[in-house]
Amino acid sequence: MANGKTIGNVNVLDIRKTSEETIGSIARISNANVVLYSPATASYLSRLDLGNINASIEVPADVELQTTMGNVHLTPGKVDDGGPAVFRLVMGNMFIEASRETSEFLRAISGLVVMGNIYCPESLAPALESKIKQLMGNLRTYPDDGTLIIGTLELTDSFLAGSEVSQGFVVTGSVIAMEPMAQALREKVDYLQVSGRVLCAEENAEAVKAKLRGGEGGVTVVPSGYRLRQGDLLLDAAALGSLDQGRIFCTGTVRIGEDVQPEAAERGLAGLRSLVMIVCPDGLKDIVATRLDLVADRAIFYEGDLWLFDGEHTLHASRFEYTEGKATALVTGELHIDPDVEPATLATRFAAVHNLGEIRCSPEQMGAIEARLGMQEGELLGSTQEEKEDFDIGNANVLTL
Amino acid sequence: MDTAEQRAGIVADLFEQSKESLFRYALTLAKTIDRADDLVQEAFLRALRHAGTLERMNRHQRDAWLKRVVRHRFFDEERGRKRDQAAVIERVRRAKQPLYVEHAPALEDIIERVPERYRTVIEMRYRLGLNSREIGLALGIPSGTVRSHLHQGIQWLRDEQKASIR
Repeated sequence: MANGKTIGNVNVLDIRKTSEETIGSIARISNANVVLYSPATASYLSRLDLGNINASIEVPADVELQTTMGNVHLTPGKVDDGGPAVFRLVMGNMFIEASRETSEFLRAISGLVVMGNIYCPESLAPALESKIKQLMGNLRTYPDDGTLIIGTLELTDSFLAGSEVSQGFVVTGSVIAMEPMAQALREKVDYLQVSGRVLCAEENAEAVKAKLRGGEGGVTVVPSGYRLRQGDLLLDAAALGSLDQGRIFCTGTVRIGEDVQPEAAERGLAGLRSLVMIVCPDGLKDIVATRLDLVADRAIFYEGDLWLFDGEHTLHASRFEYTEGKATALVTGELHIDPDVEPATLATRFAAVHNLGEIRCSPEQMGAIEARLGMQEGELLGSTQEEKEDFDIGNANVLTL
Repeated sequence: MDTAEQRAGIVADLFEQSKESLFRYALTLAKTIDRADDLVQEAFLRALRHAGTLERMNRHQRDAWLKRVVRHRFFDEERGRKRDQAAVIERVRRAKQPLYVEHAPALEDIIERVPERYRTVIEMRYRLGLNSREIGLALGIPSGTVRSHLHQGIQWLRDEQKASIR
């Protein structure tokens, strides 16, 4: 490596006023989201060893820069951060609502860089577009009369009943419409412009689809009679005991507990769906499988103990030493198998390895893992040297050189 | 790779083929639909910037590439969240700790050493107890600039402190 400082993991690197001497002292710049340079420092870019730079933007050195780390919401009564800045850099989404103030704000700024999405009323879009120097996301315009909802919109019958007129909703997140209310949807919703997903009860599906305008996400229809459960769900003996022929539609992973008896599963569950997967002890397979839609959903029936690797993990030999019997590994995150684990141990102790994430191991261990592979939707890679870089300067939001 | 149109076409095809499986994977990690959607969107934005690389890959390699982007982005965010939490805990811990430093320099002495361009906002913030907006109004500068000067002034003090320890 050349002599000099290495700089990494910087959101905004500002070299507009830097000197030749400073540039000469830098060996490498890695992982910078945006590099700002001025006409006077433009020639320095070619001299820098730059890696993983998302954007480099010219901004005159004398222009005042205002950076926002996070979302910016320009509403009629409030233009954030105390007023317009000369050059705005937004490291997040920008939500703009139609008003005189927001229109003036857009006129006053000299330039705009947004590392996220912009939601903008149609009438302001031309003014906005003339100011955008860089947009690392989408510009989503919406009708001026649309009601902008940031995040998730949960539509209920009472919510719609409270509205006297039909209105259009522009939703940056998801829409949930689980209460049966097809009539109210037809009468009180003019249109739905949704960036995320729509989750709706089967009874509402037709009405919701008729109102969707330019939707990008999909529509997930929850079958009639199913209760929606958001996030992961553990159905252990206690949880199942409270159900009587329950039908559950879960947006996360469903795990059926090892303490569940076949009779309890038979009595408690009538139907089970998951957008992610259903993980169930092999001993309950005969009953639980009949409650699932095995064509639409992903199900894993496991033998022995369940070892979940959903984060960044290293599997050491000691884990096998302090446990007994077979285990099933389910990898959704990143698993590194330490060289101290004997391939024979992997082959004998794992009943199955389901890989939805990433497994790194030695070539010898790989053979053992492959012999036990069940679901393979991830990556199985040979161990390599860690490629982590050490930075002299790193993890900065805004760095001015 | 010739044109932006071709690049967009490759990514559009990839989006149609892989969006659902990628969403399902993102949901496995992220747990919430909105966050999973964000991860998927970021992965395809990144795909747009690397369309040339993706063009040379087969279907399986492209899917693996997209998943890797989602996974790395998710873990980066998680690490950032943990760092932020640790910083907050550390600040609370320090705030609760009694100050046993002998001959601790007076606030006036500390502020006097700060360069002129930062000193005013630091004085207004820590001596007068004004917030960024109030300081901005008083000085006629945006509150973002106030915060930036505060941050840089405090950073200058930290650097000074480190230098004095050495």
